[in-house]
Amino acid sequence: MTLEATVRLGLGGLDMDVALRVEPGEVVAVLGPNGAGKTTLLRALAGLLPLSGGRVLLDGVVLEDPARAIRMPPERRPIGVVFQDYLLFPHLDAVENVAFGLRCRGVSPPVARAHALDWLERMGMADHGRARPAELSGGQAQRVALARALAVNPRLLLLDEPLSALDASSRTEVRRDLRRHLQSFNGIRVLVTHDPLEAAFLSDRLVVIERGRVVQTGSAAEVTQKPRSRYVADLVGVNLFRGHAAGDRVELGDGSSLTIGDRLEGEVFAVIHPRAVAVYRSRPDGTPRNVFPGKADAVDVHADRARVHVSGPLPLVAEVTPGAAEALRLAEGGAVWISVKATEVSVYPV
Amino acid sequence: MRRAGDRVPIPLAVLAALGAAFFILPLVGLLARAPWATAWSELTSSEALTALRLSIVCSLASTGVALVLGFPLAWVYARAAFPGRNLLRALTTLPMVLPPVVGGVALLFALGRRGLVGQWLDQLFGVRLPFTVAGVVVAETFVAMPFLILTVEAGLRGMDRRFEDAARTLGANRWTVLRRVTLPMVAPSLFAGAVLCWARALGEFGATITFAGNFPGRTQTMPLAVYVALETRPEGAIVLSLVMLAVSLVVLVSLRDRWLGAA
Repeated sequence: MTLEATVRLGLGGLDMDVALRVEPGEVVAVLGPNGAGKTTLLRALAGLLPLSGGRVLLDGVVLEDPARAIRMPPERRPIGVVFQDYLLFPHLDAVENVAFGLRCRGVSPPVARAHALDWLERMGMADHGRARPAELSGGQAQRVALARALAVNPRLLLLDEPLSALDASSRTEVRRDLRRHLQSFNGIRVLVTHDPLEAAFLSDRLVVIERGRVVQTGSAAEVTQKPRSRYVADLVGVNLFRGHAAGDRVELGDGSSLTIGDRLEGEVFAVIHPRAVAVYRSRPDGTPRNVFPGKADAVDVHADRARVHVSGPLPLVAEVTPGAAEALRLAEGGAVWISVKATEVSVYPV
Repeated sequence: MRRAGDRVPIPLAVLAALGAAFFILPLVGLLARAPWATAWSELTSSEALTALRLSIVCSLASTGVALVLGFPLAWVYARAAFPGRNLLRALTTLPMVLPPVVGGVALLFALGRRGLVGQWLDQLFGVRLPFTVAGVVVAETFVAMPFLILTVEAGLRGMDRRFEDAARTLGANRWTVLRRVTLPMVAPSLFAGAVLCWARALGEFGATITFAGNFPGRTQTMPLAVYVALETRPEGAIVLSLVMLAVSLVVLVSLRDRWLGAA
């Protein structure tokens, strides 16, 4: 059971070209900022949006191939979808919602209802069969939505922001439940989220997309250790630069350069953790090879850390103690110097 | 934000009171002149009852026709994109602003015995619409259906279409989606549109008298009966008017929350 999809389409200002391959038994999370095209990708896979190019292949069966004018309508695709906000039919009770798909496949009402009740029981929702969606909590609605999607025995399960409709207090518990239910489904699972914690917790592999393109894939650890986009770097909370390495120097393109501990050649990413950045009021004279003038712009104070945003030839974020920030009066802004040891710059090829 | 208890400037208050009186006075006039002692016998006189029965049957029939033809039109307006859609919508909305008499005249020239289509109906099927009960239904539908179309179109446009997407991913074809998701979800709009349409059909006068005539027992509906009675027996006209007033009030109150947006 494999999903092989190349999704090319234009929608509004979004120009999408995403290749996605999901192996049997794998849970993949598509992670990206708002407007990256995550929901569009899911809708295209489900057949709700036509492709302009590319191909969708599930278990070797072509679901869509514009070049060959093949397009299977959504109702014939073996794909279950759990939508954002769940979209339970408000005029039907929980059992009828879950039985809906079976009824569409010509299963008689009593058989479909019995089957639906089984599914609700499996989700721990047997007592809520008669409830209308408006009477269910977010977590309960999600379980009904999951039962509805799974009741027709799909081979691919798509989930769009499955936890975003929940309030913070129930999210942890529902997330744990969802992981358990996802693990018990033995088809292919693709979920879409803008929440990196959710993605890391629920999936085996991340696919990061931005503006309709895949920018990075890999396990949560791989992605966070070697960010390849500003979005991921911001999520992880590190400074990311892109430049051209020659020996122990990385030219950043705007005239400034970084000295690094390794020797590399070619296009590289350079990551500097904010903790590795030291801030001074006057020009430091010491071993750090990377010393830049700058201007302190803003200081965010968290519990025991202050993050100082410094603009200049090397714009970055430095993390210092609130005491140090106060001693240097960084909150007042003004000229500063920053330094980073060459060994603190981690560099990897693009 | 709305503030509670704004003081009304005096000129505004005077004009507003005049405006309210303008609507209330005629009702009071009607009630004051109502022959309460003979009201029941007036109402149950055979002419009044006949007109009432005819009105109810015809207005319900035209509401039925409007539902069957109007929902598909509203769906097409809300969901399909084709050249000339706005022009078509304008044409089917026209009866709302057209003087009903003009509508009746137009119907005569289209469906009358010598009309564009009417002559064929007559020759081929022996069907004559003008001056028949069916003609009353045609005239009322012509004038009242736009209310249903507009209301249902608004309902369809306001509906979250992702529910239809959800149904399709569950295996529902377009027809099943329409039957099991779209129709139930726009049911409140359908109901509101049908009630408005029915109320308009019940009160129809101009198109009916022009196209269907004013034959007691056949095409004389309540509004026509009121108009005729006014010249011969004003008491009868008042009682019939009160009945129509009551019906309108019930419709208004029952729709208050659904359609007219209770504050």
